[in-house]
Amino acid sequence: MTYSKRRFGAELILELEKGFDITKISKWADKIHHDHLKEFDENTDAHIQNIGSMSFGPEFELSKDELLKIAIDCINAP
Amino acid sequence: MGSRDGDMTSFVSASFTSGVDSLTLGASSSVGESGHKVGLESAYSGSGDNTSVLGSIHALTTASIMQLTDRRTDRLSVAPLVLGGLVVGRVAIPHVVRWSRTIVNAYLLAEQVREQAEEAAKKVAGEKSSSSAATGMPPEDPEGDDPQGNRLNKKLKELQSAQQKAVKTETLPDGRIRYYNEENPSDTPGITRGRSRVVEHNPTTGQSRSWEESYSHAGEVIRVHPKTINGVQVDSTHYPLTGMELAELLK
Repeated sequence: MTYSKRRFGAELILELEKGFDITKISKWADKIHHDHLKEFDENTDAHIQNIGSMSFGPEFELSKDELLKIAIDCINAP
Repeated sequence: MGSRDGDMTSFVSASFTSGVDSLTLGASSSVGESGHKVGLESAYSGSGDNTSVLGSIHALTTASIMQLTDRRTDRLSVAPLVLGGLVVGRVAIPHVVRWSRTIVNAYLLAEQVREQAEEAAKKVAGEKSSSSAATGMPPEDPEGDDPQGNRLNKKLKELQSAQQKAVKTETLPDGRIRYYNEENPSDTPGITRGRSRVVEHNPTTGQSRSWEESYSHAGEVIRVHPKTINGVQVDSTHYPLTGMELAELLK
């Protein structure tokens, strides 16, 4: 089974709708990475790892707008 | 077969030996002017003690011959049966007793082997649990609640992925292998230069674990975040704690 880029974008938006909490979104991304390991392409893998590492510190944090942009780009990707 | 003094005589003999004992049984039949004669003989040499089967057969055969040559015909029909029964009893009973003892001994031996196997299995299970406790790593399927091997599948996928993406591989003196993914630089400037995912595999024990580590500008590891142990995701804080985790703790 493949975890598509479109599905990732949609689920990220749903996660953001629950509230912009860096720790929670980071944990959510870690779970997605663990549950669907080797099921997504390299670009999606990079996005998931970047979001997962947001909890490391302010150097790795992404704003809500940046996350929304990633989600929309993923949904609109061919 | 042979001929003697005008009579036609046939004879047959059989010899048996067992250790130092030997027994020869012979039968002869003569037909001639004097009529039809039958002769039986039993010759035995050896220890003749109670344990000698050949000695017993000789004794009974001799008695049988005496009975058969007895003129009283009313005993002849009964004597072979009685003597046959005695021979069978004398010869068979010790064997039956021996076989019974052998069967009982085999059963006892099988029970001992079963008990030893059970003890060994318990010991191995104990060692496994104690070794997992010592290494701090959970066993593969401690509760037996992962019959389809999902955890093992995750673990193998993680190791495969790490091996494919590794830009650096390090082998530790104790045999553990660490696969380092490409370093991902930080988005904004700060004390952290970047972060990388590391998967460690111990070929000796089969254990694996993964974590993310961040690096200072000097290339030193400044923070670690455990991710999985043996393919099982762990929910852990960072080491050392991040500012956000500290604030959460002090709330």
